[in-house]
Amino acid sequence: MDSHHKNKEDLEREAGEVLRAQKNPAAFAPLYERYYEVLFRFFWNRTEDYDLSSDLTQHTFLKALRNLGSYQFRNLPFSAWLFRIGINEMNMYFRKAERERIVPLDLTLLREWAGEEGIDGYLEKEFTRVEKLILDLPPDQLALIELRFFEKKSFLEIGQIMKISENNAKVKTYRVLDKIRKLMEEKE
Amino acid sequence: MEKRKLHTRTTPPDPKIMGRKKDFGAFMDNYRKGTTPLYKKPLYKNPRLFLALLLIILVAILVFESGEESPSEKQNPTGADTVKNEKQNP
Repeated sequence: MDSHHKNKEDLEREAGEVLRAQKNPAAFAPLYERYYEVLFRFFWNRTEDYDLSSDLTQHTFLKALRNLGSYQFRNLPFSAWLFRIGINEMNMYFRKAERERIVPLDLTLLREWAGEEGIDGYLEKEFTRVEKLILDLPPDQLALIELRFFEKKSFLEIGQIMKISENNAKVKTYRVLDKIRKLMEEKE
Repeated sequence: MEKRKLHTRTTPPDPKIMGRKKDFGAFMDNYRKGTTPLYKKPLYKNPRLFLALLLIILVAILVFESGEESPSEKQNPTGADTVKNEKQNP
């Protein structure tokens, strides 16, 4: 998901593509081609199922194209809007389906954070507890942790996807981490 | 609450399978199916709608038919009353 790193020219070119697709849905092709694999991988990492990842990707694009008329360019990459739709679609699917959802996490990043907080020893010793704490988080808080510790997103990108400011994304993510840290300390 | 499991190691999807699933033509077909209004589609091209309409018409005919029969049945469903009256007033 490195598609968020765009310069002004890229953003304006993409805004032009969106404008053309708003007038003619067939002009959606370049956006579909650019983001298909990125979205597919995002769903794959949470389902490990080809058919389901493909369905969720198609649904996300369908919803995006149907609502393209309401899309307004605000100097943000189109992918942020797509991922917001994608995360909603996925949350909706897992709420309805009796199916296990995978939460991907990069342990190296999590260890780095635990090291900064001075709780790395606990993380190694009691990983099962940490795992449970993370798995029990509400969906919006879990999304923040996943975007930060798996997708390796910057707070600016997280803010764009979650439709909050960069600062708010930072505050919210650290609040969740603080919650995990406190719970870990309580149980220590 | 949704069921979840943590994966600290993920395997990337097979690019070949992912490529096979990517089909803008099929995507646009789905989009058109979902956005084309029913009145723009001929009835014979939509078997579901055709069958649903046929069923509605059949039910309407049946209701109409039974409605026509019911007044006479209500007035004299078995004919027993007439016989009784005849006996009382010969």
